[in-house]
Amino acid sequence: MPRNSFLDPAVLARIDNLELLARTVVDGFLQGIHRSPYLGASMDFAEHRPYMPGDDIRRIDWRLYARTDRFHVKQFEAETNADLALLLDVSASMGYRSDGDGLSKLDYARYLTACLAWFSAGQKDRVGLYAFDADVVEHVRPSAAHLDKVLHATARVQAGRAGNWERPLAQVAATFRRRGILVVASDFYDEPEALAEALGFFRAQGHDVVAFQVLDPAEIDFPFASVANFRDLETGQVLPVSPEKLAGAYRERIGRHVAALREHFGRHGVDHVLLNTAEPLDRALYAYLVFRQKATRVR
Amino acid sequence: MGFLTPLFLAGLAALAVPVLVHLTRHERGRPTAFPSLMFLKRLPFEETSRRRLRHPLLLLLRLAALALLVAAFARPFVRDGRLAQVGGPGPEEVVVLLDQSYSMELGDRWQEAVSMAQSVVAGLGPGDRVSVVAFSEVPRLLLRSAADPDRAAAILDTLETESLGTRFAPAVRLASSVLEASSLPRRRAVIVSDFQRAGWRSDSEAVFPQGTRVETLNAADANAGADAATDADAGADNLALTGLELRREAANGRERVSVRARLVATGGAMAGSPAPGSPSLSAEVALWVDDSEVERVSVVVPPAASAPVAFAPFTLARPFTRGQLRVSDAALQADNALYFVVSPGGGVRVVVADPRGRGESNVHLRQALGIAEGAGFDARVIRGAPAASDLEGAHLVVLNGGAFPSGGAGDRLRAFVEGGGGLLVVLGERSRTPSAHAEFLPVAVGPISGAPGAPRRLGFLDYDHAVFEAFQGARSGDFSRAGFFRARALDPTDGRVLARFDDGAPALVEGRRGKGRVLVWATGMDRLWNDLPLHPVYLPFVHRIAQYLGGRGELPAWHRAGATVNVAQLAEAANLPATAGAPLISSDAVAMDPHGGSVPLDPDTPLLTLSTHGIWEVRPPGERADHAFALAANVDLAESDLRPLDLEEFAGAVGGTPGAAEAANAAAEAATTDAAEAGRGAESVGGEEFEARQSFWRYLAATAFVLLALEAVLGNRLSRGRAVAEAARPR
Repeated sequence: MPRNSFLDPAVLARIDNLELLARTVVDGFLQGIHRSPYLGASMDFAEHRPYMPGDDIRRIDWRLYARTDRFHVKQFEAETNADLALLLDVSASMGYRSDGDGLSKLDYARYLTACLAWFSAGQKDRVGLYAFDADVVEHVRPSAAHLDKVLHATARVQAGRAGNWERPLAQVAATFRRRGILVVASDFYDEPEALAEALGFFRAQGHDVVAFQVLDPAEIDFPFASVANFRDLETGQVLPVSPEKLAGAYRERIGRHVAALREHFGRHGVDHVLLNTAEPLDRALYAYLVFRQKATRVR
Repeated sequence: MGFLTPLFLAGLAALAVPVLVHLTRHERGRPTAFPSLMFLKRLPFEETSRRRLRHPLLLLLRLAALALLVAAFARPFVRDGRLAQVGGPGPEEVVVLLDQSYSMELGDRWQEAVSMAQSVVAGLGPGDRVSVVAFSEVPRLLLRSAADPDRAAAILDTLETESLGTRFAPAVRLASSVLEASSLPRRRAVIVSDFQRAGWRSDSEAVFPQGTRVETLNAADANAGADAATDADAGADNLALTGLELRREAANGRERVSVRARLVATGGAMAGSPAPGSPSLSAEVALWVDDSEVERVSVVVPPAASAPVAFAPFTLARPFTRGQLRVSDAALQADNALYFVVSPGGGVRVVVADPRGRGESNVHLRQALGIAEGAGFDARVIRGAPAASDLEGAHLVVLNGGAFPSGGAGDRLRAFVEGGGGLLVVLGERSRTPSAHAEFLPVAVGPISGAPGAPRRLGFLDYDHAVFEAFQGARSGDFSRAGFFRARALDPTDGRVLARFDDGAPALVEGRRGKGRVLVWATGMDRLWNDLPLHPVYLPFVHRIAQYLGGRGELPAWHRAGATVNVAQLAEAANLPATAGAPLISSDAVAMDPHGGSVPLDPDTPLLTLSTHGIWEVRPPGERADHAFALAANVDLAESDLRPLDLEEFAGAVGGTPGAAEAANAAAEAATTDAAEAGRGAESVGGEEFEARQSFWRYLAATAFVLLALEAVLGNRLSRGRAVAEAARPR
């Protein structure tokens, strides 16, 4: 089995149990990259364990090697005081899937959220969830014991109403006071500047914020050819569109929008990761690990 | 260009359908869900994109196909231009025959007839040619095979009714000659008339050429249908005056004339079998003499019968006294009056010179001359040559079987004739002519010919001559029954042969000598050489000869309208004192018709056609009209018989088909039933003919289907190309 097979969205779509999915993904991912999932997670020594391929050789305890002539790596006690708030956009636009058998953006974001929750729980982080559209529809307070709730809530949410960032972020700001990490999974169909300012507020509060922009391939490539009426999933507006004439302009605009998001988010210290639902989850996880490592290092 | 069913053109509104389909085709159906249209809404050209047509060629094909289908359903036709001939069976030679007889004056028949004829002309195609034949008793070709409907219409507008009867056969023959000469592929004869039964006499030569479509447009039917309540039509009670008789009598040295006539009930109900209990008609008949009413009598006419009308005698004082009988009648006007012109006559003194004196040889002649109504004859029989005293005051000398006098008697007789007297030479066994006077006679007298067992008959009579003019009408005298057993051979020298035997030998020859006239009769006036005295024509024959030679030839009291008369001969027959010694008809003489119009007369051939009923005058311009040389013309009463003709029978007889006649009549009714829409109705009929002939709708429909097939092929190709392009697009 290829190492990435569990990260392929098409494969993941066949797994109903979100917990199993998250564990499979995370474990497979971590094995694939030959790196310890606990890298840099804590400064307190816990125990030694035999070296395993993929472990950072910097963590090999050379003294012990000198004594035993075997490679052991040091294991540290994980730090458990980091709060992770997963902000999952469940607005109607997230329910879009261009391929009938493929993943919707919400599914993709759901898997991502579950994986991050599993991964973070493994690091003893307190994981919470905010599923929102125009309001917060599911809220799980960050806690080390709330992994199951988070996973259940993540599996339960459905895309339905139009989204709005103002109220949900206000509620998040009101309830997520302890400094932590905010992971936002959304398609970010709003003005980049406003979004960046909103998320930048959390950054200013001392939170680490990473924004996963989940887009369907059709949203990026706009492969339509026939003239058709396009219905906005959130507003319901119907617009006759001639893709033949508009595809190029659309791609240019969506590209500019992504670029603007990246620029404004960067300007406010918010990491921006563009995810394509047709791509495996490992890129997202890797991006998160990088982000997490950076955040830990900064801390 | 016109459309037979223009309401279908409303279907052109359906042209908007393909346009809307092209513009909104993708708005229908299930919309494509998309997360956000924020990047699509902002595109500046999305609206124009929506309105732009994806495949204009497809749209054009659809629009064209739809428009063609709509046009096909609207049944287009073209009246003008070259297209008018496309798809049709070719141009048509059309002859319009318009009845001008006076029966067309009844009600609105004439207006309807002209309207019908105009409709026919208006319906002609550009390639068609039209001829116009106006007919009554005599047809006239007013326009021959002209590709000019406007001219034909203008001619029709100028036509009026005439005072003549209807005769279809000559008109059919004339129209047939026009159609036969035509090279056009189609021929049509349109007869517009009231179709009286009296106007048709079967004529084997009155047949249209093979393939000619005959249409009969009945103005009487259209008229009756238009307003039966107010129209005086075939069923109306019509009264007509006929049978005019003028009886002369002498009273106190003055001549008196009594007028008699008959009042006849004609018209549809009256002329046929009257319904039981039909009421009699009452009318007043007035006698007018020289524009003054003399007498008025009331007459009651039983149904389908006639009643005599008699007036008291009036004194005839002046020549060319004009008389008129009038009856008040609401129906036909032309037969409501009888015109006559009568002049004082006077006795004709006749000297019958018989070598045997008064006896068997002249008993019939004496009897005939002794019987004369009104102005009679004063006949005296002498033995031998007439003496100077005999010639004194005489108007006519009859040499009854004797020799032409010789010597002084012969000279006196010649002088008598040359001075204006008349001479009738009746040849017999003893007839001979001295050589000195041989040239005086217009003939060289030959031997006696013929045998009792093989009588000859009179085979030729010059009805244009005053002697025989009275016999030209039907049942006016039958000379052919008389047998001539013996006769002298005549060799005309300078004379005019007025009658011939059936073997061609001259029987009666006239010669002019000075102011007088000489008639030579080849056979006797008694029963020895012929049996003419036993026949009814003998008496009027003798009277006409005596009046003619005696210079008392009275003009006919009236002529039949439409007759052509030789005015000079009539004037000469009347022996007008005013014209003695001068040309009877001067170079500036004109004939004035009853309506005041003038007809110039040619002195050389002063023929005058009495085209209108009434009183005609012949006089130099500017001269007083009172008692000028006048002629009366009356309509032919046969035209007053309004019983209709069987159109199917008529159409079959002239070479048409009954179906064509019925269809034509139906079309005519459709065109004329509603007078207010007559023009539009006629146009509609014309449009149907055009449309049926051109059948443009077939071409339009076929073209539409071809376009639709093209559209289908093209549409499939475009769809296939788009599908391929979409499949090839990278995702």
